[in-house]
Amino acid sequence: MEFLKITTLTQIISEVPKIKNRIYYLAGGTDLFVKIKEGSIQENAMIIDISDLKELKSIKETPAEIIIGALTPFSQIAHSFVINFHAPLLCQAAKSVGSLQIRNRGTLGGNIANASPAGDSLPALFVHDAIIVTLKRRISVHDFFINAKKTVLENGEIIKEIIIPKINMKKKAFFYKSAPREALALSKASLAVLAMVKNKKLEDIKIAAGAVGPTVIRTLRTEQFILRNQINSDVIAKAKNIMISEICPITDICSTDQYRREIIKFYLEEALRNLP
Amino acid sequence: MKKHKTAYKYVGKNIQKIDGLGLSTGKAQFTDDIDLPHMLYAKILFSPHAHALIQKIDVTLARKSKGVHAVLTYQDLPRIAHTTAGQGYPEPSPYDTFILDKKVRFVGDRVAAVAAESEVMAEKALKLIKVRYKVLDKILDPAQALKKNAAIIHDEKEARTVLPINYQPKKNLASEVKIITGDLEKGFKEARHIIEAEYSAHYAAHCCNEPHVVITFLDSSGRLVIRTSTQVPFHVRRIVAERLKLDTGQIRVVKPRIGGGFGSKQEVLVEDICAALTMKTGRPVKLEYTRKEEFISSRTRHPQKIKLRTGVRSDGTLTAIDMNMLMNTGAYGSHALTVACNTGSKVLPLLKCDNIRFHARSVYTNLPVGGAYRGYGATQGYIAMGIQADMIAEKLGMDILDFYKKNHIREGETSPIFKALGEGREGVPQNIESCGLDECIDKGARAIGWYQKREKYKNRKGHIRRGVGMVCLMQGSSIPDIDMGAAFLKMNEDGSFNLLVGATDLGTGSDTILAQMASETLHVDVNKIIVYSSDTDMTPFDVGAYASSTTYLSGQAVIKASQEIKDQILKTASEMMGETISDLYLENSSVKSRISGKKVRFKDIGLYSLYEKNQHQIASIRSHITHKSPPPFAAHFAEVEVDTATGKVNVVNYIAAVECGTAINPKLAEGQTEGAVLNGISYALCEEFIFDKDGRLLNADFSNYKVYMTPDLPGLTTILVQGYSEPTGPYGAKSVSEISINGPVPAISNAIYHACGIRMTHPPFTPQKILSSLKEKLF
Ligand SMILES: Cc1cc2nc3c(=O)[nH]c(=O)nc-3n(C[C@H](O)[C@H](O)[C@H](O)COP(=O)(O)OP(=O)(O)OC[C@H]3O[C@@H](n4cnc5c(N)ncnc54)[C@H](O)[C@@H]3O)c2cc1C
Repeated sequence: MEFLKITTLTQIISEVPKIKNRIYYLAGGTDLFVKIKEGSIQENAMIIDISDLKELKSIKETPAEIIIGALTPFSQIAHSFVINFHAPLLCQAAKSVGSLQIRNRGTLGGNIANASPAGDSLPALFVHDAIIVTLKRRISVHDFFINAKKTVLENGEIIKEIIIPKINMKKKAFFYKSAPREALALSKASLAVLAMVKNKKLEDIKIAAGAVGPTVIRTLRTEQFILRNQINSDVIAKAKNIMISEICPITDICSTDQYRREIIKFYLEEALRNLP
Repeated sequence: MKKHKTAYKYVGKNIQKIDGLGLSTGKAQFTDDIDLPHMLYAKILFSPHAHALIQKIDVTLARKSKGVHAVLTYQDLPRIAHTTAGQGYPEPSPYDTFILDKKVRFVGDRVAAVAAESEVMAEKALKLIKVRYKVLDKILDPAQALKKNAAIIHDEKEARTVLPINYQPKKNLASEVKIITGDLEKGFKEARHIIEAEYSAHYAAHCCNEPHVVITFLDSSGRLVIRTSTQVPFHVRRIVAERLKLDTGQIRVVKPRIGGGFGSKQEVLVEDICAALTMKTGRPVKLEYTRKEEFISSRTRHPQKIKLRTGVRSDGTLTAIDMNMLMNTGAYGSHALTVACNTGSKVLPLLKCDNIRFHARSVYTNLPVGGAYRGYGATQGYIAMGIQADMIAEKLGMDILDFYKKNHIREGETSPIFKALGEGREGVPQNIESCGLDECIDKGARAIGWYQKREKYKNRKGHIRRGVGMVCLMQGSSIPDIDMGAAFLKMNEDGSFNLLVGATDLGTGSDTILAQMASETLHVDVNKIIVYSSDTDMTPFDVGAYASSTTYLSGQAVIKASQEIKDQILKTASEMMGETISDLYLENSSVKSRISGKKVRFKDIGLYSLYEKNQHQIASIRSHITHKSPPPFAAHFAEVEVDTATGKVNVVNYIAAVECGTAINPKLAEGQTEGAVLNGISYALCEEFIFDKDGRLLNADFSNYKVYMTPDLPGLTTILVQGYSEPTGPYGAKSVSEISINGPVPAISNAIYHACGIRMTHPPFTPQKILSSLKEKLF
């Protein structure tokens, strides 16, 4: 394993293309060190420490967007006034990550690049139609993940920032996460629901579920069904069934597939009952 | 109930832990905190198979690998059958283990050991060891172990037992006990109701902060020194000597500060192989298990399946108890008999009943090995008894508090179980001489708001339900007529005292409470007592820290030695003062005269005795054995919130009311209780071993084996019920360390029942299980 420390984007642009080895960025290291310990990093890999790359650590705001540097740690996101105003779901998700220590180290970019279906920030990014910006392209979050732990990123392609478009409408947001204990526990299942309301009428709704498929799943059919109908008990029951057909949970050491379905149904019901 | 109030100066006070400052400033040294010149690092190769024969093992490449000084396989070591259980001699566990063997019996069994100049080099060498296994049929379900055609896990001819425990390795039976008191059939005939159910207790890991770790080296005269994280230094010395064919006198075992044991270090597990590597290389060797190795290869709580049947009259009198238990001891029979016995002997005497049958069998499987774990079988037994008591009370329409008050054993009473059920032999009959359980029940009930909440939470609506549940408990204090602890005390010329004890402080605070007892007896401040413990060359014998014995047993040895020193001090003082002993008394580090009012200070006495006249060492060494094991008592109350939509159970409040005789140091007793309760809540709701179909543990790490942490703590209140002095205990003390882990599973299960009407009898009570039980209830 080789090791390189880089502190500016210019250095990334000049140095990285020369490297032929498999590249791993060390941001907070909270996923990477686990992998190193497990022995799942190739012998000839190149570890590039970007933890001091200050250019990627800020939260900025334009009239239409919030721009979050890839290296922003969760503790900063959790307490950002701007994010809490425009994307409270992301704050809630950030607060639920790991423990204080993990939130102080773990970054949003790392959570995305790691591409775990249980990554807690991801459902929030899905319902906000976030855009992931690398040094050479902009990728919609919906096109970013190929499979569990697999993304469209090429070797050495670095995430620079994450853009969250502002929504100028009254919002209602719900984030649920099921975990076996209060801290330091991966989600068995999670659900993010973002509803846009105008004159007490539901204008739009976006729903994304975590840890119930190889990637986070945006459940479009459920969304459309809800939009087409007046919410009542019958519609909620039907929506739950559609939702179940859109996810594909597995049984692993965190949970059974059946429990994951039950919990997602309950979360959806909770959200829909609290919508009006 | 008699209550005693005695004013003590040091006993019953929250004296700061004497090693507290050193520990919290990082000055105190744990086993791993030293590095010796030329030290080698050991690594173990563990079996990937649950049951297999080693057909060929080739270590040529490993031996040649860079930095490697020794590679050991079964071919290099004496083949001596032993048990890893660190118990008294002769151990009541079957001799079925070898340092290394040509057969492996669970995933995690040891195959070979390497010592190299660095851990990395040792790990590299492990990869170069080539093993060809012949995989054998395996047993992963204890219910299959006794079947006719089951694989035989211990077919080696050496497997045997010293005590008669019905050991039948050909049938995978590691031990069996069966006792009957009274007339069971008659008892059930007299019953108005018969209640019957099945319960289980599951695997759990001890999760000490500090893993098993040992450093071995040869001292300047060639003796073997073992510096180890152990609960049983004297047993380590004896057992390692046996296994390596050394004289006991050739070995010195030193116990530094310890980062927790909870029973896992009552196991002589890593010392033998590390010592063998030192003997082979002549070099100091360090062996430290990683967390994963702790999970797969060290010891666990024995899982049990318990069938419990009880008969009860309509007035709540118990007429018959029939407990039938099957225990999974895993691949080896460490503590297989004694944990099983304890499931009966620490549970059945609590509720009075004449007609009792207890039948327990421990069977071998190709799964991780059981061992001592805080609670030691009682934890498992109270799952059955504690939930069943709630079922009985419900059947009778009786409040559970009244049921316990009617039936629990009291001062002056005995139970036939005490005599009938010992450890591999008959037990020791005893009368209860102190019992504050009624007060525990009353105080606990008041603290949790029992009667109001039992009413208020009935018939609640909505998906969040609340409930309260409770359980009563007892444990023991040491093993009667078997355990011995000794203390040596000497006086120095400045009036300080060296207290040398075999007793083993694991972080429990025993050094501190033993010093408090010496202080009290000698009328001297605790900081004048210099404690040194657990060094087989320096301190007298003690069986070690297990069976809730240290305070009760080793404490008495300290008091006896202190009293003898007191006599010697008085004698010397009378010589110095020219007054008769009977006119003298001890106060504030001095001897005073009732007649003349004169006084001499301890430091004058110390100086006088060593340098001035009739020079001699004021010193005493005393031993103590006990003929009783007086139980501490407790009533635990849990208030839970059950989310019937997600199945999540939240413990909102928990009250542990404990009567442990005199609490020598209330803060430390409270600490023991809180630790045990959180340990138990975590076991009740969260901790579990998940195996794949080949017997491999899938969650051998802290990210997947979930242990409750500080944020999961409920509102937790400990009530130490005081004033019940135990006549046979040091300053009236009984034990406190184990009892409270027995409460959470039954108390929480009963609270869940109160909240939403489902009887949970198979912990852990995970959301999945709660949801499916709720579903079953609906249909
Ligand atoms: C104890 C513990 C608890 C945890 N709990 C949670 C939890 O509750 N919820 C949750 O979602 N996660 C949890 N995690 C996982 C982890 O903390 C998060 O995924 C975190 O966001 C990872 O960020 P990092 O900066 O530490 O990534 P790193 O470990 O530094 O990197 C992870 C991966 O991302 C890549 N990478 C990092 N930054 C970039 C970038 N800018 N561009 C391209 N690739 C990049 C790296 O190459 C690497 O492959 C936990 C981890 C631990 C150890």
